[in-house]
Order: sequence, then C-alpha cells, then structure tokens
Amino acid sequence: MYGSLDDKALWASVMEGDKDALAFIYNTYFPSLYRYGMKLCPDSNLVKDSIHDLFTGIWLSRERLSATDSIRFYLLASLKRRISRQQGLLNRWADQSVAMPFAGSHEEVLIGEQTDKERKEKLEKVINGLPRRQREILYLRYYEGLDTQETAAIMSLSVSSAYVLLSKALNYLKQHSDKLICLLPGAAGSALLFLTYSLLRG
Amino acid sequence: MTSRDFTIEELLQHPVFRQWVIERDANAAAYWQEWLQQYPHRAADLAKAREMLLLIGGPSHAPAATDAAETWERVLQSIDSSSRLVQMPRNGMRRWWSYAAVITGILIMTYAIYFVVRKDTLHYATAMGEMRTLELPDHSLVRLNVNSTLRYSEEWDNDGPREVWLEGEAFFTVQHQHNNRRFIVHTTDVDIQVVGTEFNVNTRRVKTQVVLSTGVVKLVLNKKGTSGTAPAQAPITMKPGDMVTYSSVTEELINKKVDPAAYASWRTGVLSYDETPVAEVIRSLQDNLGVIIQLEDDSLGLQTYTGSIPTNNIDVFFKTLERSFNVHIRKTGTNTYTIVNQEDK
Repeated sequence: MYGSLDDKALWASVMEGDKDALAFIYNTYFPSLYRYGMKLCPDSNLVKDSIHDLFTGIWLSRERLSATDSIRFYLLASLKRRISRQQGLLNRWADQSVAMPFAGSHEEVLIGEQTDKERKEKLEKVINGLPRRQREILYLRYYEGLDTQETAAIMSLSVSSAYVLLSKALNYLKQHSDKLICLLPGAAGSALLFLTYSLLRG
Repeated sequence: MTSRDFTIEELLQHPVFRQWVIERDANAAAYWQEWLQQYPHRAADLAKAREMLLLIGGPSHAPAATDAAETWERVLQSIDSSSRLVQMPRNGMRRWWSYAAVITGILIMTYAIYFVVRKDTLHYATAMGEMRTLELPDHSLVRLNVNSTLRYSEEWDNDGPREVWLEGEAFFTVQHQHNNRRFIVHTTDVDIQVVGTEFNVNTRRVKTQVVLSTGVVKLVLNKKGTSGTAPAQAPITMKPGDMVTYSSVTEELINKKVDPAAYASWRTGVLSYDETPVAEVIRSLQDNLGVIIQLEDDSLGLQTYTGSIPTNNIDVFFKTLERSFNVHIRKTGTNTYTIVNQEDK
C-alpha cells in the first residue's frame, strides 16, 4: 500500500508515527544505503551501524523532521554525514569530503555477466583513472539517480560546479568506454547480444 | 508510448534505463526492447550506456542476505528500548549509559512539567494555492505561503521570548517591543532570533533559507548529533540583503547578498527571479504552484532565468524559455510538463 504514496506523503506518514511506513522505507533503501556506505568506507559493520543509527534517529526525532520530497536524497545525505562523523574525519565548515575515500574498483568489476579477465583489468583502469570526487559524483547522479541539485548538496558543491565536474567525468568515461566497446567480441552484434541476454534474465 | 532518440547522457538520466540495468526489471527491459525496434541503429549506444552505468556502479558490495533483516531487528530494539532524545548505545559508547540514565530522568521530569504548564498550541496550515495572513498575539504579522504550517502558543507571557515554529515558507513583519523582547522562529535547521524586523523564511527542500529585508537577525544553527544541548557556535548576525541558507542534514552553510524583494515577491502573487538557475526556478514553481516540470536535457537547468512569473500564469515562464533556449514545452498531465529540445518534438 505504501508503494503508491509519493515521497512526501510517505515521509509524512513516518512523521505522524507510522512504523510500517518506516519499515517500508528501510526495505526500499537498504540496498542503496549499504552500497553507497561501502563506497565511502568499506567496513561492513560500520556501515550497518550507521544505517541502524540513521533509522533509529529518524524514528526518535520523527516529530522534528523536516518534510522532504526526496527520501533517497535525505537518507544518502544523512548516511554520508554519519559515516564521516564516525570516521572522525569530518571537519565542519571545511571541505568535509577531502578526507573521505571513495572506494574504487580495486576488487572485481562485475560488468554484467562478462567477466573476462583482460577486459576486467582494462575496466578497472578506466574507472580508477578518475579522481575520487568524480567517481562519487557519477555514482550519485547516475547510479543512485539523484538530480544534480541533490548531488551537489551531498558533495558540498555549488550546482554549477556539480554540472562542470559531472560533464568532465562523463566525457572521460565516454571516451574511454569507446575502447571498451571495441574489446567486446564482434562489436556491432554485441549490443543486441547484451540486450537479449539481459531480457532473458529479466 | 512516446519514445525518442535518446543521447547517451539522456539514457543515463532515464529512470527506466536505471531500472533495466541496475534492478533488472522485466517491464523496463521490455521498454528498451521496444525502443530498440524503433531505433535499431542505436543498439551500440544503448549497450555503451549500459556498460558505462555498470562501470559507474563499480564493484557491487552487495549486503549479505541477512544484513537487512538483522539491522532492522536492531533498529526495532533500539526504538523500543530507548526513551526519546537519548543517544543510541553503540560500540565504544557503553560508558555513556550511566549518563544517559540520568539524562533520561531529567528529560522525563522536564517533559512532565512541560505538559503541566504548557498552554494550548495554535496550528495554522495552508494548502497548495492557499495563502494566509496571521496576526500574532503581539500584533506581528505573518504572511504564510502555500503548503506551509505555523505553530505557536495561544497565550504569550510578557517576559519570555515570543516563539513560533515554521514549516514551509512565510514572511514575517515583527513588531518591536519596548522591553526588546526577543522573537524566535524555530525551523528544523535554525533558530531565527529578532527584536523587530522584516524577513522571509523558507524551509522547503531539507534546508532553511532566511532573507532579511530590514533590521537585524541573529541566526542559531541547529546541529544534529550534538545532542541538542551542546553549545553551538556563535550565532550568525545578518544584515539587510543577506541571505543565509543552512541544512542540518548536510551541515552546509551558504551566505549570499541578494535583493530581498525578489524573495518576498510571492506575497503579491508574483514570483521574481534574478539570474536564477532554471533548475531552481523549476523547484520554486513546484513549491509554490504544485506544478512538476521535467527537463529532458539536464543542461538547461544550469541556464539562468531573470524575470517575474505571476502565480496564476505560468505560461510567461514557458514562453521565455521557448524563446531563449530553443525548447518546446509539452503538457503531460494536469500539473506536469516536460521541456524537450525543439529538434526532436
């Protein structure tokens, strides 16, 4: 039943004391929060503790929450703040993200089902060639699907700097993924192959 | 279904694209299959965009199967066992338990006293499209914008500060009183302390924005996580024309000089913008008029808009955009619009 509510209404239910609404939000966003948390700090326990604190905090201070029309933004921003504080690296009023790592792909990159070794290494090189901030902004904007304003707010950037950084990162990625496409067996046919493959899975 | 010839950026921005690639949603997959039939020559771009998105996602640190449930179980325990306002126990925080117990006791007492002595609270809320002017017990005036809420105690004693609580947007004209009695507007993010002055407060979008028209304002930032009682940093003193924006969620503080009239013009049914990014104008229109405008091309959001939009005639805005940026506005529902590039309507 909560699925049909928009973010604003769903959030309002929590503010009014609806614990099921909180559970719904938790279930919807847990994977996202965990994924992003692990990027900020690859320590599973710390991330889970922070998510625990975040939701406990929301519930206990629900009457003082401000309305939001983007729950995803609210949660990701709050989680980042909590994790930074946990790490004791948050330097208030300064650039709070200087000391934050944004874990790159030193482990394995899972590109769909194609896990060919050589290809994987090339991909790692591409994404690791990007500065940490650029990886993070791409992630928030495209993988999490936040809008540019929200992305800017989480990264403590002005909206215009966010646009600049984003287009820089995207251009880099576009140029380099040209090479990637060529790595695929039978470049032209591969796209359809990809699509049909994932359609079958779907 | 209307589909169109997306660029790679547009694919990346498309919610259904994300659903297909990340969530592997079957309906989303069907959508792109259909799209591909219409634009077969774009197959390589679609694959490339997918590749890029997966690359952006990087190595997926998937939570273990039980992580979500276990963490939620802990959340429920903490919620049930803890009294309001008490800090959560956490590894390394155990020694705070004894302090917590004492604080809980004090809080419960305070709470009890509060309920005994408190006076009735008045609660005013406006709906979308509804504005309201309220006169407070001290004859100060509050112009409450659409979709906003103001709370305050029914009776004000003569010594304590005059206090109101705001969500949404309002313009305050505060009467100065002989004994320099303070007037405080509380929001989630800040406490705004004044003696007698005019200012606009906007608490939408997970932050509070204060714009001072005349007089002097003192701003106390609410730091979450510092347990409320910790001494905050020195209050910020604002002068006329100052705009301060603070979010207690992101702890981001922005200070700017603006034309205060532009931020208070909504009172007269006109929204004014001066070199304002289009994306911000769109958010403001959503807050003030309840219309939702989507940009097919994000980069338009960065362009700036200068001009006035009457709240009963949004077309003024659309006409200017169409003239200046070679775009076309498509009405997609009663209150929803999409701005598309002129070439591909």
